[in-house]
Amino acid sequence: MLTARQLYFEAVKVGDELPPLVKPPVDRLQIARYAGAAQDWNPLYVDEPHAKGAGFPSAQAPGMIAMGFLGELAVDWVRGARLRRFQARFVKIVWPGDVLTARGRVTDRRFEEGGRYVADIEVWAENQRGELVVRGSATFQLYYSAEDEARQRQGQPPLAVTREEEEARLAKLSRAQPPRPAPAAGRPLAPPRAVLPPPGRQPGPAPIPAAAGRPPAAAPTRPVRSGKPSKPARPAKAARARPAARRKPPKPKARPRPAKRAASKGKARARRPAKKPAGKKRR
Amino acid sequence: MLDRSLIGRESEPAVHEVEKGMIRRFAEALGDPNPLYVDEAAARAAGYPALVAPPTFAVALASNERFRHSLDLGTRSILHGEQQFEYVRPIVAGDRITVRSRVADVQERPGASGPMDVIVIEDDGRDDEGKPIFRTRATLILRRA
Repeated sequence: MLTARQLYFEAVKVGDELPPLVKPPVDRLQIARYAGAAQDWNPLYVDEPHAKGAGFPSAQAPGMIAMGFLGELAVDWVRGARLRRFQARFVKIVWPGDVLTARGRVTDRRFEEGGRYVADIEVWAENQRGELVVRGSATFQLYYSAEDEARQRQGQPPLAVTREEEEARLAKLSRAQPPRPAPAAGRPLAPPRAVLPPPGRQPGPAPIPAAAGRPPAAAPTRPVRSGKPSKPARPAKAARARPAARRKPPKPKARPRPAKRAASKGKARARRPAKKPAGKKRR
Repeated sequence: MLDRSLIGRESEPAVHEVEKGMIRRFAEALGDPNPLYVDEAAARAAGYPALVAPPTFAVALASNERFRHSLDLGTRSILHGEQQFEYVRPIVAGDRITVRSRVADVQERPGASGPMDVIVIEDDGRDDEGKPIFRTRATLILRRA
């Protein structure tokens, strides 16, 4: 469900995960309804004898249904942000009865000229067998903050914040945090611990992840993070309707973790079935 | 092999009036309960002039059947390979959108069961003043019989 609250750019972090969206099975009725609503009358979707005659085991679902699920996932998460770009590649055919789970993750956030703030989200869906069926990305433009939204709604120019200004503000915030309790006397002082990077900070000084728009061939990239064990900011909303009894080891694992080389790791992982313990992917 | 001379072929402009019912039906077909797609009060409260269309709605305006028939792709199975959308602004109910389709590319690609033909069709949607609203790009794969 859509909440009234906006998602603001200042709250978006690279690596944030979207709560997975589990859709009801794609049945033949839905396929027919979609074909009509989209005016997409490919006979492979609605004409079973035709599909069999063409060598398919049955009629198939339009890939665009799966892409529509990705759109629902992303739009629900960004609440009110403006969609700029949305693309997807159809990796595997969706068959009647398939249960798709849509997932996503923030791969980049950018400060653009003229007070425009943009986030890239990679999105993908897998079926009940854990197979990747569609993979894509969406680019949204967001308000920087509630203040920015209020200004723009009153017809004023957008709030202009640079990355440097944001970093400086966050650094100040983290300095303003209460000091740690003094170490117990008598024990040798531990070496000073590094201050945690402030939330929202990007790794490195020029943090435009090169892989932003281009996930590797078989699986979404993992975000490169600055080693901070943060939990992804999640809206209060839980994923909808989760059918039980359909959890297989997932291929594209969604979980931000420190990764040195996002692209190569992602690829390697995709070739082999997940060797990580499954089951924690549903939070 | 599909004829590469198809590249550049353009459709006649098709004018679409985006109706509320069309948006609602599209959202319902996807099972997307977002109120912006079905409830006008919710859409206005969120700052839109009318019902908003879901992110993939532009395909409903872009699928120009007559144009596709005119390309004479034959009776081979057509699979959807990729899809892209670019939005200059959201589509809302009441929009009048003129859509032009164009063959952007024709290629041959190796496939598991022999070479496949690939055709890329781009659609461009504009308002009555000629201002762009969206562009789509569909990559279709034609299986050889």
